[in-house]
Amino acid sequence: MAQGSVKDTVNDVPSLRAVFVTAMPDCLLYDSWVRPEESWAAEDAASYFGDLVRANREGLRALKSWSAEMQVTIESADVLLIVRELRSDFVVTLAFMRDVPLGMVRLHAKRVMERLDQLLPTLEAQQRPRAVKITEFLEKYAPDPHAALHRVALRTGIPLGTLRKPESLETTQVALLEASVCDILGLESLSL
Amino acid sequence: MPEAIPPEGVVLEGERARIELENGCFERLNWRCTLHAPPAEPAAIVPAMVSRGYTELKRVPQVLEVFHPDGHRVAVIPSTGRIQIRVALSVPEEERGQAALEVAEEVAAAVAG
Amino acid sequence: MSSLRRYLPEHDLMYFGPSPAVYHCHHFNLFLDQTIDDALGFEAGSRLRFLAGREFASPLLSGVAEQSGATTPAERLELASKLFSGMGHGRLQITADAKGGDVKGSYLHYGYSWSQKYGQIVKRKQPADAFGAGFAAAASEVALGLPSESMGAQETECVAMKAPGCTFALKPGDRGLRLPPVGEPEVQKQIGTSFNGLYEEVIQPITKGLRDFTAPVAGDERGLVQAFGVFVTLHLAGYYNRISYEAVQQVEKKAPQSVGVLEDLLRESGHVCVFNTFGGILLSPEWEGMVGPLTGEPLPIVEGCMAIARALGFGRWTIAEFEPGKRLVVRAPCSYESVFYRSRYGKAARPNEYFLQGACLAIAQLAHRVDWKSKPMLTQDYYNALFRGGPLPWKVEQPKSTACGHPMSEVVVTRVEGARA
Repeated sequence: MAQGSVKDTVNDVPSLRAVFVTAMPDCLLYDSWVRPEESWAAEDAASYFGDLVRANREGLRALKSWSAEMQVTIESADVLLIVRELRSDFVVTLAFMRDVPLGMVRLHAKRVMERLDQLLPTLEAQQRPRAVKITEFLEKYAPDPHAALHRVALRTGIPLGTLRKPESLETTQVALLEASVCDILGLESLSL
Repeated sequence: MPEAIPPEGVVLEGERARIELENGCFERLNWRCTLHAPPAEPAAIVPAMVSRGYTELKRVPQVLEVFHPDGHRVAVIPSTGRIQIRVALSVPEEERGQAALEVAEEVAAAVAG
Repeated sequence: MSSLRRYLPEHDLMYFGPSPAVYHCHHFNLFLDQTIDDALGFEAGSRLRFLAGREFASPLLSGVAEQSGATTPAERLELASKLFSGMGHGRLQITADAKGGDVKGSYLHYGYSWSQKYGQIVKRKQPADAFGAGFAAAASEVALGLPSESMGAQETECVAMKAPGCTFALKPGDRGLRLPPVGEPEVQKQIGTSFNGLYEEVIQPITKGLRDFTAPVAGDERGLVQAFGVFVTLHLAGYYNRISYEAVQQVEKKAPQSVGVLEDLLRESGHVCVFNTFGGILLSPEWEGMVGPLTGEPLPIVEGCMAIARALGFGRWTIAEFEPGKRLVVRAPCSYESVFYRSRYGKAARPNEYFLQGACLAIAQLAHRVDWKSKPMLTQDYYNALFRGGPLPWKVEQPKSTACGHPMSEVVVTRVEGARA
């Protein structure tokens, strides 16, 4: 963790409800600050924002419109989210109160992002086994997550105990795992 | 597309009633209704609603039920006073909460006479 | 519809017309079909599901047509559509002659409930209504006087794949194996002496009340039964049993190392069913009116679940032992699974009433892990929170099964020491 804290960077932003810092490329929660009265679980939310930015980047690339400066704004019923890729190693999500004017939100977001850019360290990209990433992706998105690994075991013939240690899967098993996860999720390929 | 149901549930407040989404209802059809001024005898809701164009559905005496020509139904448990509003399937999902609240207000008005 | 439903009162098994039948919810139906496809692959899985649907719809349709005096093809096709929607499977419009035909389906239980439960999360690439295909094929055979096991059906469009409706193509010449029937006479041969368990004075009146209450229930204007927070079907027991046991047999031959995981998933289909359907019934106003408000104590939940199982036609599930927080032993003189297995395959090598096992595990969890007084919403998120990540605080074993020749089926659920709450 860097010197100072995420909380210090948002002290003067009264309309902010939470900040989630997601470490990329693994979409793992790196740090967060959530207003005490909120019931949000940072771990539950952070990884999805990483996936969101990645999907957004791919979509923009397909439209030949990608730029490193892009950010995603989400206006839902009761929250206004700004999701932004901060360098290549972090995605920062700011959750504002819904009734704050968008111009004000953008101003606050710009300031907070600048402070976080100073605060956050440079992460060494950790090369984790692909099978680990596939398994995490499955458990995050499968419709019946408690049964997802059983389904893969049944489809692939790979014993459940082996699947529970994905880092030790052989190359052919990883291919089988990936194909079955694509089938279970109805995807052509996995964006990992 | 209606929004996902939040973990804490959905509660709507009306002038004379409060409704709360009930279990398992991923289509927002069933709502628990709490009247601000409930009748002394819960079964009195049935004739009151019949007088407003609802029809009584007779199945078992422990569960009273009336239905409206539009398809809405109101179930009343005489022994406990529980009231459940069952919105007609023809109502789009995003409008069901409001439809249930309107039925709840009608129940309250019927009881008040 | 209600006149076609009969119970074997001493055993709490059910018939619909001449066919062994049970009530099951969409959670169970979808999970079981998915498990069959996971085990065999979609092509072989959907083929088996089609064959089972066709096999067991045939005696139902011919029996009811005969009983009701429907003789012309048009009358028989109309009767088939009425039965299908009355059972809560949606609406089928069948046009067929000896050369084949086509079928339009709307609100089909499998496809529609799949799109409701999973459609926002997963993109489905294959159709979901193999049971509907089998039913439509059998309906055309019965209507046109064709040999049974002869009409084929393929679902060409499905709402689960985001099509506006479901369509099927009927084509003759799709021969299946003629298997020995498992109807009322065969079930009768397999049932022995019945018995009671503890707390019968509570369980039996609730069972009767639930049966009386559900007797007039039939499909709504969509041909669906939506009750207790789930889509309910009156379904053919033979369908469930054939697809489950044939899948196990095929996996035993082709991938024996995967049998255990298949059995886990078959149990899970029972678990998800009890959690959602039994839980939905327990939370309903009807339950509150007929039985009373939930106290939050484990025993009334277990008693209630025994009554619900009996009313749904699963068999005479009895409480042999119950020590709250520690142990539940359920015994039954037979189940809809065991009578089928014995009749079709003979004695089983090991206890294999997977639904009963998963259901009893879920009953223990409902009794101990759900805060009923807080009126919980039995959502997928709640289910995941309770059952995702292991190990679970309860485990299930089946030491005895009438499928193996034991005098009773017995399932034991015990608390796992040191597991999470």
